[in-house]
Amino acid sequence: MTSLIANKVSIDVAGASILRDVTVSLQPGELVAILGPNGAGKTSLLRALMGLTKTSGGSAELNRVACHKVAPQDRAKLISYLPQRRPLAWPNRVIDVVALGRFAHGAALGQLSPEDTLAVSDAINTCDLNKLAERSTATLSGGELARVHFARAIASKTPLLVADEPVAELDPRHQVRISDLLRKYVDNGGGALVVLHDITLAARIADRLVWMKNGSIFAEGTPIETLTSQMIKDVFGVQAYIGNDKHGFDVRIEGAA
Amino acid sequence: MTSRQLNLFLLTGCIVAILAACTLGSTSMDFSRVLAAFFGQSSPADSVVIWQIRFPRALSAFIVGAALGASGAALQGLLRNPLAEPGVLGVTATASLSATFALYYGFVASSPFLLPIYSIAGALIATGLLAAAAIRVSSVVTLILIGVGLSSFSAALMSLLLNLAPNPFSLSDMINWLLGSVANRSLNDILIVMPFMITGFIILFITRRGLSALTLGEEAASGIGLNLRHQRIAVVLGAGLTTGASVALAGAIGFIGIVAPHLVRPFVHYDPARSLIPSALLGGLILIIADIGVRLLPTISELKLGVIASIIGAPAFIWIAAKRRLTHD
Repeated sequence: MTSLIANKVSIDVAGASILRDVTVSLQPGELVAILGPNGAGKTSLLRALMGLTKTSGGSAELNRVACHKVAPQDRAKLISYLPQRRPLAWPNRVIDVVALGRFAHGAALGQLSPEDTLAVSDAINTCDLNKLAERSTATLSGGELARVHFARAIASKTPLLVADEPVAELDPRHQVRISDLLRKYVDNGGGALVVLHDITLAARIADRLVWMKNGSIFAEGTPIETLTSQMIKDVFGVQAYIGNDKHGFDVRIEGAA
Repeated sequence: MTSRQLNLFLLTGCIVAILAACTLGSTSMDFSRVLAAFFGQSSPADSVVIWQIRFPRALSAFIVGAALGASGAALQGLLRNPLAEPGVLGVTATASLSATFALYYGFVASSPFLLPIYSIAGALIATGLLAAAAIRVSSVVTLILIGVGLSSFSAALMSLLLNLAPNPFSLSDMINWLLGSVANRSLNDILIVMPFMITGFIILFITRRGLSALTLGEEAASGIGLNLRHQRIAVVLGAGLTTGASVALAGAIGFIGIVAPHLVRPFVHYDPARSLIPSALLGGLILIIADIGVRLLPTISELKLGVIASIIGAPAFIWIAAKRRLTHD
């Protein structure tokens, strides 16, 4: 089984400690949400796990091999990565952007293998992009683009997915659509590590919450175990009301702590 | 139009344009006479004119245009910016400087390979510096400004060399060469640069899938499995070899690398990989036609190809820059 593990990872950049002794793991079949204020080190943690940042201490390992030593192509067959910034340099067609998810499998745009074609059309169906497939990405709304990027990620058919704020700046309907897609990916056997800013959303879809603050993990556990007003006060510095009924969790921020 | 049809169309255009270029000259020949001369079915005089004067000139224009078109397309893919181009980024200027330096000190007399080696070394220094800068600065605009600076600095050093030229003959030699031209090139001149040209083309062709991946930005491109380091080195090497070889053959010719990919892109769904070959073919076609134009224009002394290319290309550069969407940073 594929496993992605950060073991006491520390990152120092120019004398500043960005991450300190962070231990976290991800396996197929679970949705882990990372929560924390800006500057808590969430993105740095994901980048270390993707082998994009060298660690100063500890180790980030993919199937017990140091992440920065895994060849990008091998890694891309195991983990899909949705970075926070997703600039598209050219106004490509939607179907071509999704097909880039097959890059590690040797796909060249315009001449996909039958297996690649199937994976791409699966991803396009799942993300409800059929009507947009031939459109230029330059003509899409933010919500539609988010679906295109998500489709690109799942077209890789990897056992793991690492996503940095996949629902940021989306309207409520698109937030729900993307989070449903995430949940579906995990229910089909995938493992997802996702940075989220919406605490309610995270509590509703995640199996496990990782609370980060000042470059360290403050707490970790299921939503029921860890989602308390005290936790939100400690991590985010705000007063919050937490509701939990048959519709799921509800978090209402009431003001500064 | 699929990209295969586009390539076929452009290739046919290039062949027709080369034949057309061969009909022009002090004695004009019709197509059948040109074809007869190509296949040795004509008078020896015709054969000499075609094989030693007209065909090498047209072929040089094609090769240089193709090299600049391909390296423009590749650099644009790597830097994710339609304004990146060997001329704008100072690669051509640095290659010219390095070659002029070799000419100035008379190094080129000792071996015919020294001129291409010097100009390729110059091109590689420039592309290497740009790639190193690209790793450190995230803004592509900054990178292009660095290229403009590099270009100005090379131009300044070049002026210095011209200023210090030992005699009027070497001065006019250098100037002729700086303006860029494919007149009076022989098949031998072409053969000397071909090994560098072909190696450069092969390297660029290998990087093409990586160029598509870079559409997503460097971070996501790495995420889908691209080795960024290898990609950068390969594109720099490929673009340096082709641009340097083209400077060695024809001197400094600018803006082809920006115009050709720009025109091609809508036909290949804006995919950098699929724009590589048609950009090369269109670059070649544009230069063959521009060179025909140079020969047809009734000017007192023949215009230099590089001058025409810049007069057409620079406004196109401004137009493309002004039209860019602001979201591209």
